Amino acid sequence: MKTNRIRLYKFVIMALFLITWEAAAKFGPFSEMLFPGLATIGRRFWGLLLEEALLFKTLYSIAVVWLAMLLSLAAVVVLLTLSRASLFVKTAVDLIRAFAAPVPGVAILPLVILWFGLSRTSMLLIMIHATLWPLWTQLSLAVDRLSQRFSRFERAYRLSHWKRFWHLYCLGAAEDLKSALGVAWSRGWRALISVEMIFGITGSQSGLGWLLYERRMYMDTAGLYAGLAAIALCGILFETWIFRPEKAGEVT
Amino acid sequence: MTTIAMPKRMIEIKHLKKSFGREVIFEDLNLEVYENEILVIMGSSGAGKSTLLNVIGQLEPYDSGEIHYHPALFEGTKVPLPFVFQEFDTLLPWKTVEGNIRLVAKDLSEGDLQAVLDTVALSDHRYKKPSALSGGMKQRVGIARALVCHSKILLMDEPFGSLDRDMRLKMQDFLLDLQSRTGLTIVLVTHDLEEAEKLGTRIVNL
Repeated sequence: MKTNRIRLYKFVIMALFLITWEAAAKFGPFSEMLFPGLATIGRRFWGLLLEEALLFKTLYSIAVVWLAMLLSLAAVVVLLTLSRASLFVKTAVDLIRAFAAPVPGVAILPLVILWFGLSRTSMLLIMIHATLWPLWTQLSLAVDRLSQRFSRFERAYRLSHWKRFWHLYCLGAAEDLKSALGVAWSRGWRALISVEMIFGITGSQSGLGWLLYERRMYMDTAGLYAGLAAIALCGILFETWIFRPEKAGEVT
Repeated sequence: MTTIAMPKRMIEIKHLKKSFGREVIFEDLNLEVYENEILVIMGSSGAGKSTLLNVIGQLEPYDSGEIHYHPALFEGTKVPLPFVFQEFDTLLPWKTVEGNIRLVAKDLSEGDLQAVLDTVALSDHRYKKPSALSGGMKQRVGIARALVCHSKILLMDEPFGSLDRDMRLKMQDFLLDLQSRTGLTIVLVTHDLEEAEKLGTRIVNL
């Protein structure tokens, strides 16, 4: 019942927003160049899809974030395995995380460019930086929690390394992994758009960030809004649907 | 001449000492666990009951003394000293009853699984997850998990401590019945005198 009301409210709010936008575009004091109407933005969105490979650029950006997340996840699995074996490794990674996690990806961009130039390697490094720490933070907490809970059980029943790894820790941390990937996605997606806008200056890369930069260069405001809409839609798609946390009743 | 068969000593503890840092938990502790008995270890909170059980179960080292295990304990099992824990959250909530039991016994046959489920009266709940079970049922899954290891002893750390009174009484009856049917040796830790008197063949106070 409450969910239905929330859905209705969301629909009404969106409708009000769109009506206000259209009214402001039609009757407001703004130039069409700065504040295009919804129909213009919609047409431009469609045009970009057909002519400017908006879909390809979106998929490219998504693929880069996923690649970075998979590489980061592999690194986190290795680091967690090592940190279970050695307190020194765990302390070292936690210390590095404390320093590195608060630094936004864009902030280390100058340093990465100095070392690796404007290359795919640089972009991937920044993306790994953006996605690695959220994954480490959440998954190491999950492993600590599971370890504390099952420590006596796994030793008393002499579970093999594989059973511990897969049945206790991988399956036990599945929900945490989903939520950690959600946070990593969110940070990675934001970092990527910023980085693409900067890397796009060289014209050597593709992606939604570069599309935005390009549209601004051509004073294509409707195209700019269409690009922003594509970014927002991707964010909603992943954060609301793919990495949606389980509701209380759904956890079994 | 009549010979009286002496019960087998499954575990023999001599002059055992255990401390955490400077705090001595127990010292010069001597204890025997005999075959087919329910030995109840009692004591107030912090007396070292669970620590002693962990030491017996080889989960914690001890400082000095000796513990001798009868070789029969290690025959035909990879888990000679299985535990039933107080906290039934040591069941894996993402696995079914069957999954939790199979986790500790790699090559468990269908027949053996069915037999152990019948023993703990959980045949109808085989495909349920722990969240769908009552406290008593969860504890019976923990017992089933220990039974499939085919060991000759069960180490139980306040197994019914988290249950309400009615369920606790039912589980005590269930345990007595199980022990009489299987002849298992059981070492059980509790702080409840009533429970100790009902279950224990012998009671040791720490």
